[in-house]
Amino acid sequence: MASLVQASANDALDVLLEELCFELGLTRTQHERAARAYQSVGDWVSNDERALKNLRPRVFPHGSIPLGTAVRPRDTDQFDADGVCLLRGGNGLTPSDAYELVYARIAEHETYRPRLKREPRCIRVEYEDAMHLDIIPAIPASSGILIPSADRTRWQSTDPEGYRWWFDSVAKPTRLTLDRRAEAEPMPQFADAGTQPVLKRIVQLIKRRREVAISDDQLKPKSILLTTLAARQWGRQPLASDGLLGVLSCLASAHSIGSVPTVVPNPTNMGENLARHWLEIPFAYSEFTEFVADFASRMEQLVRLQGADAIAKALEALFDPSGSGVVTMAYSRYTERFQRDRAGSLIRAAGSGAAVARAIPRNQFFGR
Amino acid sequence: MFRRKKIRMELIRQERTLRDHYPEFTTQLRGFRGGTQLLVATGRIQPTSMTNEYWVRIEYDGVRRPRFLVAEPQLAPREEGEKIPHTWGPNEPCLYFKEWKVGVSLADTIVPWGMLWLTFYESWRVTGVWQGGGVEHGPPGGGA
Repeated sequence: MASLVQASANDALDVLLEELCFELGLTRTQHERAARAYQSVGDWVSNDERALKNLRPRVFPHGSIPLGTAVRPRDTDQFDADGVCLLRGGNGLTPSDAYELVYARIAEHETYRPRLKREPRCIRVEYEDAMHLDIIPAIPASSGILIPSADRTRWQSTDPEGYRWWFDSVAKPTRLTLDRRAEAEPMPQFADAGTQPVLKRIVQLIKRRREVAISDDQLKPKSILLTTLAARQWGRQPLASDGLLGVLSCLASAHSIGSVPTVVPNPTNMGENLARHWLEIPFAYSEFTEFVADFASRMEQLVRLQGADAIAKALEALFDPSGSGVVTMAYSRYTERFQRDRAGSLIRAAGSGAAVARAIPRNQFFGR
Repeated sequence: MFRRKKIRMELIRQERTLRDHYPEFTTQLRGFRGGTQLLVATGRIQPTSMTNEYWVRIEYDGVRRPRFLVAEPQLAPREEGEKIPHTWGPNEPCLYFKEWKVGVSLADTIVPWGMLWLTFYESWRVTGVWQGGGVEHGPPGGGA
């Protein structure tokens, strides 16, 4: 059948999903606000000349922003920046002591003092417009770090840097760089549309669908679980549409409705079961199996759809049932790219069986 | 008579080029009483992997501007009574301003321009904005 051929390798739906992920992620403003807040507090903590100095603090970011999988909050949801304050010389400290030392340092700053809030494990600094910064105190472990338990009576082992390394090695195996500064590692830069690796977009779409499809916070699968499952199941398809479908099909098979929950170990801490809430919270696992089966089936339909109307409608039902306009924005951005490709002669025309796609002379549409 | 023959040669040439580039198209050269001739080419196209498939028809008489008509699915505005941008009529996109003239191959121009138009049309249906550029018609009654 006669059709247009675009010079870029990406399928049209994949470009649309790329633009949709851009609309679903943090805005540039949100990202930069988070990065600035994290950097200011991080610098303040790591530059302490008194109580913390001998403990040699090192601050680094963790969570969805450095992983590149953050999704924009819907409505009144908060979004957060997360940092670890690792007290490299703090091996003898109790969790409570470490917490109080970091808290005290942040509280010394008159800007942060009124914004401080104690959370079970971390020190929270609250900002306007639904943003907050969580700093968690830590001490070194033989591999990874130790962070306070929820009641701050025990240390628990974890390895967020190791996790980030692992995830990045799966998402972008050929471009692995770890930019490690001595004292306060900055947040990565804001990523423009079209620069995010496929796996990260897949994780964003799954997280967004979770927000849309599961309203009960207790039953929501944790982000780190979804991220790990996606990374393990991704078949390295270069397109997000195929990749997401592949991940969902594998998950639907492995976690079919009526099956028994499995253990999902943290790849950087095999003793930690990322899916323990499946065992601990009633109905959490059945909610997950239904979520996956439904999502897989809708994606299978989506990739077969033809027509912008139908595709936009299906994407809205999947990712934006409240109709905030993200799908329309994504379509608009996709069409802008198409128009740029046309202006740059990157689009050609081909009949079925044509040996060569032909260049298209410039034209201007007319009529009223 | 000589002019009619010249037109016929042109239509035959256009038909051949269309068949070469788009072998899936059906073409017909019709003659009418009074001497007019009409090249009609019909076929199914799918501009991109995300758009619908369309049955389209190209009509050219060698004298007046070629027409690109969308048979199925029917073009539809976003709302009742609204006009679709850059059309001559309810099923006829307007594909060019001055870029085509007699002698230029329809296969190289009208067919791909039609596919571009359909892509922008589908997007317009979702976003309400025509992003394909183009030239607006003159004021009402002001001639094309």
